[in-house]
Amino acid sequence: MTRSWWTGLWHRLRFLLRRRSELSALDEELRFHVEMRAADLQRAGYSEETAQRRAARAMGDVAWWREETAAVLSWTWVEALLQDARFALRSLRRGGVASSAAIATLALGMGGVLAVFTVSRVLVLRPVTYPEADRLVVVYRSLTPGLFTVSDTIPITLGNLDEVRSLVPAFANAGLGTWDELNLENGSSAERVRVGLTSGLFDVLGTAATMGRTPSGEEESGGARVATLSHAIWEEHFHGDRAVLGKDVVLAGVTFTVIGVMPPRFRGLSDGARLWIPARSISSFSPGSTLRFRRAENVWGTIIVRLPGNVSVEQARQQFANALPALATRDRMFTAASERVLAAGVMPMAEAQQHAVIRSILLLLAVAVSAVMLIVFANVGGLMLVRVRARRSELAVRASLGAGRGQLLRQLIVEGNMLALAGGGLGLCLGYAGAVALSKLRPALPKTAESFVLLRGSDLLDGASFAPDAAVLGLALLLILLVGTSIGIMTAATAIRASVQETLSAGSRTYTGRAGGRAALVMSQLALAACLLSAAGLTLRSFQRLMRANVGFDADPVLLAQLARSLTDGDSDARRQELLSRLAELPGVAAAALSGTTPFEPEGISLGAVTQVDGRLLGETELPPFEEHSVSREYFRVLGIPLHRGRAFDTSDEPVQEVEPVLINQTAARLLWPGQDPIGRRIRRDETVQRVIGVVGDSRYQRIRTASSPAIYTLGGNGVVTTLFVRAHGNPSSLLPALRRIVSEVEPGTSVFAASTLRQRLREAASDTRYVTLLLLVFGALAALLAAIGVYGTLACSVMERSREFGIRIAVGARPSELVAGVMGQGWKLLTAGLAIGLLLAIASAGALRAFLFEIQPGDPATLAAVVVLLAVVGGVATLLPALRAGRVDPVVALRE
Amino acid sequence: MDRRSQPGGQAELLPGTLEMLILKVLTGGALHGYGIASHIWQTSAELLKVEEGSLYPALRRLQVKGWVKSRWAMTPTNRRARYYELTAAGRRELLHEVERYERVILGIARVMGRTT
Repeated sequence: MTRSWWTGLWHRLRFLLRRRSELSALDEELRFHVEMRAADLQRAGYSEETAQRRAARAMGDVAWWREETAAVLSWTWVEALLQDARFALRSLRRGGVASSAAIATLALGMGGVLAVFTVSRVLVLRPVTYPEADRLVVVYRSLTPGLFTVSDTIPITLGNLDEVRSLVPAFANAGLGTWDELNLENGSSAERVRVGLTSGLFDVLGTAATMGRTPSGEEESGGARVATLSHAIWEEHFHGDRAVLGKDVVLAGVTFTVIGVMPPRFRGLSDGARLWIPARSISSFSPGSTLRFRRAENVWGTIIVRLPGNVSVEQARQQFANALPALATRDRMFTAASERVLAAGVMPMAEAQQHAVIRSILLLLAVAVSAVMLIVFANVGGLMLVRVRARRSELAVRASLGAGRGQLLRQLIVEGNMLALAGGGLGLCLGYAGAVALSKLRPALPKTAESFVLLRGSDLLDGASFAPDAAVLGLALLLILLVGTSIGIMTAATAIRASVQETLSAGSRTYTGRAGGRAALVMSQLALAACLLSAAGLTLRSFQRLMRANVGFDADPVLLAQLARSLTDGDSDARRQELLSRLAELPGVAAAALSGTTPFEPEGISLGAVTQVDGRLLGETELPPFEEHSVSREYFRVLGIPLHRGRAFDTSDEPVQEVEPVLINQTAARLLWPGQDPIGRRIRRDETVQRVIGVVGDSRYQRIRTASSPAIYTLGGNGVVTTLFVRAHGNPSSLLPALRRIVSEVEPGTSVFAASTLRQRLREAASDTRYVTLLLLVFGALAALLAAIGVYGTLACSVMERSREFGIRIAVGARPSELVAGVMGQGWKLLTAGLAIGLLLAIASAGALRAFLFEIQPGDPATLAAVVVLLAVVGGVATLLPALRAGRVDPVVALRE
Repeated sequence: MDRRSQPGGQAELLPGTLEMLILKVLTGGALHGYGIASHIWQTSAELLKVEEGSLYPALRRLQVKGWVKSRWAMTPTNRRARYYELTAAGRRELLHEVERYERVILGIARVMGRTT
């Protein structure tokens, strides 16, 4: 825009705001002109009267020129627009059913879209900001080409980090971030906290501490005992003490010095981290006090690189791919996997933050939002068509009075936007209320995704504001303009066509013409609603089936809690035995057991290779990795895992023996000795020789949906972080206080954390399907409601239009019930056609849902039947109301109109 | 915005030339509306005559385009009047206008067989 454009705008604005004073100034100027001219003429010898007359004539028509001058500065289009808006308001108020239905549709549709958008933005879309974040990339290796999912990524360890840094020039500034869990000691009590582990991460991210500093390079490479606090723990644990720097925090018996406090929203690379320590300091902790890592070099996590300014993401990817062979020769982790590594990649951090499950959820969200908005369009469009027909005479009169097509178009677009604005305003309120309601349902995000680089989780909803901000308002405005303008154009096109027809067909008033178009709109709404509802039904049933899936253990009624000791002491085995026997004596407890692993926490399950079977050496990739579970004797009884062959552990077995007794699951038995009896056979795993004493059923420890891995159960006793399982007779949750008491009595200094029932764990493991189900249910219900409004509005208007016809038919002897049946039939035709199309669409599009479906086919008849019944009932009611009105038409009134 | 037909007698202005004339007149310094009108009238030896009211829409257009700016001041006879002044952009515009005007005149003159 040039400067003169702004000057023009300025002059116009000033004129608009100060119209009165600007006009009087103009009058003064014109008067001055005439008086000066008259004075000059008088001086030239004319009489005063003649001079004044001549001066006035020279000026011309003053009133005309005044208007012309004002017109230069006025905003003709703005003023015309305001007039149009006033007119539109009047006409909307006159619109009755059609207008209200259209506004309600818009409000519901926009409300739903905005509510889900608001919540999803907090959960998924809100970007985490770092300085120059566009230079940050995530480095990964994947087994699947083109795909990047958590389970397919090969971890890059702290041991690899230096190799990567030195071999790939673009990765000179690389940092690693991950997490572990430790006890934060506070006098005699301890609290389990998530601790971020970093190596060079703070430098790469570039976020500065709000107080103090972040660890230096030497501190991180030397594993110094320094801690950087999150804002939350600083406030809660240290009560916002400004003198916290230099103080001590004790993590699992090891003292760290506080060096800094991070800003409130900083999360490092892991959600929920309360403080950060150098990853190499993990070696300081005694075995058993950490959850995931024992030795610094095995710490693995997400590698973030800040690329140098002149290197593109593509170049970095190329450099990494070139360096892979060299890396493979140097490092065991790389070697083991190098043959299978298909994609070694680099991806922008912003992209990685929205990956895997999140991305498919977003895609689904986008599809659902578009479907609902399509319904809104169809619905409002259909209602507006009805309105145009009702207003034919008005439009025709205006056209004959000289309103041009352009003016008519402008008028109808303004009207469409007024309608959209009314609906959109209501929609904003509904959206806010909906977002608050949705957040109450706490749609937890999938754990698998959360533990990667996503830096976000359901705790983000705590204290989040759902008040519409610029982005929400922007989206609302965009939708309003889009809907409003397209409605305006659509109605104008119809009106102009209609006015041509008018002249041709002499204004017959029967229900013909564009009824077909309107019916198509209603059918498409029903079809989309059926499609969304089917999707919601399929995910709902998947969730139910996930809950009832045979995971290989009996989840009810089992309570579990994780135990972590801060200090090792020699007599731990005896204490654990005491703990178990005292728990077993509690009233309401059937049995208690310990295990080194927790179901559905794949991070905590260690995998190992079987190296020898019956004395035969195995190749490295001959068998898949085996899960290792270190359990107590009662474990199988507590979790309800069936024993198929041999025996379970008994008192004759000891944890440490030369030949370790083990149980294996059926998958392991099938892999190791297909078709043979495994009892008494031997395997060797690194230095340990193991003898199989029994075979138990398969259990799914990693995910509900993936089949069990081969598993080996050893008799554990040595105190790693352990999970305590208690099988109850009644409600397992009620046992928790007693459990805490006994633990504190038997093992003072041991913290109990992450207590829940096994059922809750199952539910969390299915949280991705649960979240998607929730989204689809909201949208499905919305779509059904909107489609019902569409059916109702269309039929109601058609009944109103046809009241003259109905009146005549009643007058000539038709029974009201016949008329009702006629309208009902018309509605049912729409319903059946819409449902049929919708079901076909649902079956065809269910592929997009596949990631969330479990043991159910896209064409699941029960789900489809339920959708049909639901929509038939809703649609039936929407049809019945206008149909009844058709039967009540009074012929006298109808004919007089 | 059709301009009304002018009362006959003197030469009518070509469309769009009034703005150019105003810009030209203002190169001599700030003037009020009446001053501009009399200046055009006098320097054209009364050959050109515009309905004087038409000056004011033209002045506003020039102002909106940023070629002319205005301020209120006192006349020598101690009356309040709005004075118009050329801006730098107005000066540049005048050069363009003059160039364009000369091309048009030249073209017309050629068609008319240089009878002027």
